[in-house]
Amino acid sequence: MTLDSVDVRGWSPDRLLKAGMALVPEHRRIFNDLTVVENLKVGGVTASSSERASRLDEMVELFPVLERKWTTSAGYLSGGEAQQLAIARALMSKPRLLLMDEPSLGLAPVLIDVVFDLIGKLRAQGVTLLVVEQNATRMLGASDRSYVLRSGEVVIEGQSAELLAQPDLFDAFVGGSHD
Amino acid sequence: MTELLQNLVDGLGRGSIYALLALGIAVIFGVMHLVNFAHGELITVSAYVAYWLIQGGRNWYVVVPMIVLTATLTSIIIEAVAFRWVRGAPDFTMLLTSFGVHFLVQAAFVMYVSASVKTYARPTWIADTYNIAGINLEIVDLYTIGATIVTLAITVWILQKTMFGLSLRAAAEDFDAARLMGVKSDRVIRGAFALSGVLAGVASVFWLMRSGQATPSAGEGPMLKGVLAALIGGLGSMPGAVVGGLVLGVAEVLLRAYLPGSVASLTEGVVFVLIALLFIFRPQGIINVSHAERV
Repeated sequence: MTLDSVDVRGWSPDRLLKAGMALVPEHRRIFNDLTVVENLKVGGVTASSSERASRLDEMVELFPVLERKWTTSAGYLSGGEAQQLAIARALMSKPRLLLMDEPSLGLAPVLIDVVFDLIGKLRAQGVTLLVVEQNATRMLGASDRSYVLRSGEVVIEGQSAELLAQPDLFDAFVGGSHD
Repeated sequence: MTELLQNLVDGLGRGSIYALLALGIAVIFGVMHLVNFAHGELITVSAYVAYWLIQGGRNWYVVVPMIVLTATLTSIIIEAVAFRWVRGAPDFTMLLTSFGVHFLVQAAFVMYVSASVKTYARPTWIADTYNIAGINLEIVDLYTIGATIVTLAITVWILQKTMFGLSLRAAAEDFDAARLMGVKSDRVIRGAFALSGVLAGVASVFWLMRSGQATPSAGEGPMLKGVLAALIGGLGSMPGAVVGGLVLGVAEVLLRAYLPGSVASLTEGVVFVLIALLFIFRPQGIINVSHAERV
C-alpha cells in the first residue's frame, strides 16, 4: 500500500492523516456525547488551531445542515445528518485522499442522494476518493475507476463507464444487487 | 434545622473529597476501561511527602502544592511503569494490575519506611469553626468545598474547551474512532493520568490535613470511597462521579448523625447495604452512560 509512492503500511493514523489521508469509517463512528462542532474539532486534531478554525468555516459552507445543529449532541442527529457529520469530520484534516467505508449504508434513498451529491462535490474540488460501496450501480456512475472484490481478491477492474456498459459481466459477480 | 445544615455542610465537605477521587477514577476508566484500585496510592505517597516536609519544618503553604505535585507525578509514573504494559488487555488483567500496584506500593512503605503510623502536625486552624447565624461550620469543610468547586470548574473548562479535553472525551466514548481521527493514544492516556493525579492531589490535601498521619495503607479508605462513588454515579460518567461522591459523603454524615445510637457504629455497613440496594434497583448508577438513541 503506497501513498505518493511511499509505503505507508504500519503507519499510525495520525501520521497518515498528516500525510493527507483520512477515513470515513463504516457505521460512521461519530462521537455521540460530543456536539457537532466538537466532533469536527476532533477530526481536525492533527491540524494547527488556526487551520482548524478556517476548516470549520469551510464545513459551515459545505454542510449547511450541520451548521443548524452546531451545538447539538451528535447523538441526536438523524442518520443522514450523522453521515454528513462523519464525512465533514474526516474532511477537517483536509485530506487529499479520502477513504469512505459504506457511506450510504442504512440511509433512506433521499439521503443517499445527498451523500452522492457530496461525493460529486468533493471530486470537483480535487479530492481523491476511495469508496467501498454496496450500491454498485450508483457508485459506478459516480466514479472514474471501479474494482469488484470477491473474497478479498480483485476480480474485475476498469473504467467505471465501461463496466456500467457491460451489465452481464457485472451481474455475474454482483449477484443482482443492481437497482 | 441548624444541626441538619451543619451536617449537610459536613457531608458536602467529605463528599467533595470523594467526588474528586471518583472523577479521577472515571477519567481513567473512560480512556482505558481500567477501574484503578491503585488510585489510593497517590494519597499514600502524598501522605509521606507531607510527613517528611512537615518533619523538616516546612509549613502548609509549601506542603499543599507539593502534595498536588506528588500525586500528579505518582499518577504519571504508575501509568508509565505499570499500566502502559497492559493497555488493551482484558479488563480483568488491568484490574489485577491495579491491585498489584496497590499492594506493591503498600509493601514498599512497610519494608523501606515503617509499618507504624507516622503523625505530623495538622494545620492549626483545622478544628476551627465559623459561626454563621447560629450555625457552626467547620472551616476545613468550607475550604474543601471551595477548592473542589474551583478544581471542578477548571476541569470542566479543560474538558469542554481544550483539544486535550475534546480528545479525552472522544477517546472515552470510542477509543478506536478517536485514534482514527488522529488522537494520539499515548498523549491522551498520559494526560488522563495526569489530570486524575491533579484531582487526587487536591483531594489528598484536605484528606491529609484532616488525618494528620501517614501509614502504608493511608490511601486505602479514600480509594474505596472514590471507587464506590464512581460506581454510584455510573462508572464512566464524569458528572455521575461527582454526584456520586457528594451523595456518598452526605449519606455517611447523615447516617452517622441520625442512626439510633446502638447501630451508629454500623454506619459503614449501612452505607454498603444502601449501595447494594441502589444497584439492585438502578444497576446503571445514578447517571446513565448509555448513549442517546439515534433517530
